[in-house]
Amino acid sequence: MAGLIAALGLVAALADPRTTEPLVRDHVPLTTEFYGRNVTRPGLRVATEFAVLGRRVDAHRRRGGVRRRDHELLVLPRITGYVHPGHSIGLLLDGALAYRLTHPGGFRFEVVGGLGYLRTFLPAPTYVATSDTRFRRERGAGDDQLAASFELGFGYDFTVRPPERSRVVTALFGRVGLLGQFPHNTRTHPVLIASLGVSFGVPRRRPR
Amino acid sequence: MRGGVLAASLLLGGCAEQDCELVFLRSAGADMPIDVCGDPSEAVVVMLHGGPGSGAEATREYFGGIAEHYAVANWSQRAAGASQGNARPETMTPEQMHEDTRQVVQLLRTLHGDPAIFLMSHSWGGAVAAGYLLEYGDDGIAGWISVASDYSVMRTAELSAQWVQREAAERIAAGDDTAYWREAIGWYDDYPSPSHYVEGRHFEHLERLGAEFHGDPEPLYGARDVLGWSSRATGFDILVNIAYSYRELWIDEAMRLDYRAQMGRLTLPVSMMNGRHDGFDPVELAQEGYDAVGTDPSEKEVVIFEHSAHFPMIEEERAFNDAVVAFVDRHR
Repeated sequence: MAGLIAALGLVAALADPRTTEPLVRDHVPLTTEFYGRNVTRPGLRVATEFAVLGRRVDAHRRRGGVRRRDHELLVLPRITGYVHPGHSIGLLLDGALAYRLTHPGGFRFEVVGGLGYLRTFLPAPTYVATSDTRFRRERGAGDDQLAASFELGFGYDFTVRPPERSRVVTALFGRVGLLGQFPHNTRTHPVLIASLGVSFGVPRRRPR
Repeated sequence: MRGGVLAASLLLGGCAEQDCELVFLRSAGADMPIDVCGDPSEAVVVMLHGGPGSGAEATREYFGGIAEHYAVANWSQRAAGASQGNARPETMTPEQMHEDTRQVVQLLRTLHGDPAIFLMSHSWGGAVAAGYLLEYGDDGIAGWISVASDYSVMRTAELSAQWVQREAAERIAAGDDTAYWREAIGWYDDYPSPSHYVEGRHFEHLERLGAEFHGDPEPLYGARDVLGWSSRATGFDILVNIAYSYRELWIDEAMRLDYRAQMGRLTLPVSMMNGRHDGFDPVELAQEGYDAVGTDPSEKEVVIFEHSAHFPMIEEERAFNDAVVAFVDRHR
């Protein structure tokens, strides 16, 4: 779904006759987020972003002036860890595809679709029966799962307003969405997710 | 300070008032949490929760009065509450539930030095308890506290339908939404013994009549629990597991369960408890269960909670806890 929206957004931008220039950021974002499994179960997510496509689109208003929009299609490698007390500890490695629309004032909107591997660990001793009356302790008990997510995000980009220059903190953002864990009793288990993050800019090396 | 302790406790998933120890049992694809609260050295009361699928997390905070004296093992059954894993549909059977119960009992004996084990079943848990006790011949269980028990799901459905019709007749007599309640009564001509879970119409009647809570309804699975502020199992966990359990267990298997004819073989101490105003598992079930078991009259009892419906442990928490402790005191 997110991929479809991203593709449609990019196609619309690229097909627009008023498209003026490719968009090239002068930094690579490194993001860190508070990640809330079911909103309240705390976690941490670290990610970076690579732009697959980017366009800055200028459209002339009837009353004069120019309306500028930045459209980007991004790939986000992400590592997420969370603690759901009394339930599970999770480590999620996933990749996401995102479409981001940035207003010249700095506000941005994005849709993000992710797919990855989730390893969960049970947070307490786990026992398995070996006979009618005996048990052994299972080390590292948990599940290996496929995790698919869909998120909507809003944020503020500090780098787009003139003067455009690199900063240490390049953006603040939040996302809400659903994550599906498979298999859970042979089916998919939906989980509410929410995150609040900050994006740091790592300057690109400029060619000499 | 107290707020900080409470907040830390909720964050860590523990309970400020109770000393609890969490373990998991892995059985036939399911990872089931067992949260043992209180001192297990003398006796452990194993909670077999209702549902199926709802989990022990929804009621665990109401057993503090028992945990002051003995331990309560809050066990979430397969595909219930905070249980995890990949329990395949073919494991969603009453027989597997009985085997899970046996393993939970054995694990508690192994971990805690062979304390007296009591079963405390609620609603659907009564079917699990009765089936387990019949299959394993009491299994050394010191006593069965059977709360709003589904030892006969078929009889429960029949009594529940009768309860709705009685209550509906009272509403009509009082001039309260008479057209709706007349139509409701007529509906039972076609469905004299509906499953309140399968038949949405019956469930709607039960809800409108306050069959779950006699007093102010407390939303067990309300918005609070979708986020799971204070519970290890979030609302999503519970809803997903209930849906799976109903589809794979309740509709095909559990609806036909009826242990009444065999319960004469049970001779262990039994306490049949019920809320007076329960529309899901009506109060008649307590006396019928008392009559059905083969226990000596000196070792069985009926306890009715006059101000409760389906959840006496919530609506009359202190009286409920006291009654359970008194029963364990007598039979441990």
